[in-house]
Amino acid sequence: MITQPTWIVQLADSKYLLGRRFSEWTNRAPALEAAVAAAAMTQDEFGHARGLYAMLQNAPDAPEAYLEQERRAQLSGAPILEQPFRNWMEFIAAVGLFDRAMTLTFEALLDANPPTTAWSDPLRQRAAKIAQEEWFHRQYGAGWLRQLAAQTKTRDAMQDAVKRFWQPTSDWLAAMEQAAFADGALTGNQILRQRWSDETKTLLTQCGLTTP
Amino acid sequence: MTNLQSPISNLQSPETQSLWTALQDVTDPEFPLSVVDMGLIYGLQREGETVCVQLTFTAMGCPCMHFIVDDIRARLLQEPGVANVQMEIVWDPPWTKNRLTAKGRERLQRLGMVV
Repeated sequence: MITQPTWIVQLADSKYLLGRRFSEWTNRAPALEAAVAAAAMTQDEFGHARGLYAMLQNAPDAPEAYLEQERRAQLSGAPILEQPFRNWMEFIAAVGLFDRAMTLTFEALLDANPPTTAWSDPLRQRAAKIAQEEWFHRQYGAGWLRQLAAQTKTRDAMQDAVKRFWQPTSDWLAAMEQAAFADGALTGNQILRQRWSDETKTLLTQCGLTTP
Repeated sequence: MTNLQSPISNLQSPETQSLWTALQDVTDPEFPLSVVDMGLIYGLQREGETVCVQLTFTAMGCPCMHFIVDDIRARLLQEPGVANVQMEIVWDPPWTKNRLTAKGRERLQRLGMVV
């Protein structure tokens, strides 16, 4: 029997939860353009989640309704995404840190050349599309991060938001990498979190922010 | 279906040529172009009464996915001898504007889009 790898479910649920959090800012963002971007990114995250759920539906032991998230008793996404963002700075920290961590996971899945499993091909297919679409999220997050860090009135709140997301994102990514490695989907371990950490530290330094 | 064929090579196949022509009738809900000229069709095969379609979408969050799938199925079922349509969604290679046909590119440019 093909079982559903728990880490893929967690990845899909995290995508879905991030979309939910983004959606809460489609009418609260600090500018009309930002609200439109939040809506576009919501649509992207939901699309990624649904693409993964559709893949998971093929497993015989799949939960009854992956495609109707509200019917599931509990989601297994990252705990940091379970509560609404308290301000726009947390929205940007989620984009710059957590969304990027998820994308690095998909990029690693694309780069890896694991032994063929039931999930290899469908997952790589989706990873290719997700990596393409996330390019914009990365640019957007970095741009806003620089802007908010440069302004006196938002700098401290941006730093606080980074601090709030840093450790939970790092822990989530480490667990995700370990699980994917154990499942044979990634050929290396303890690499992804370091890559994320190095890349994010560079960005934060460029913005004049400190790494928690 | 595992081997992707380009639309150009499929267009030259006598058994699928009428199917490609039929799909010119199916328009993308968001652009005034057929799904063929949008480059959404990655492969088309006919095996007896069954047509297998490989298609992609411009975005994973495309809100028109179901409309497009339903329209393609409905149109192909109008073709003589076609009783079944199987759809396979393909995400790799991801869609880019390079997938537009020359006709599609020209039309979007005429509408003022930068492609």
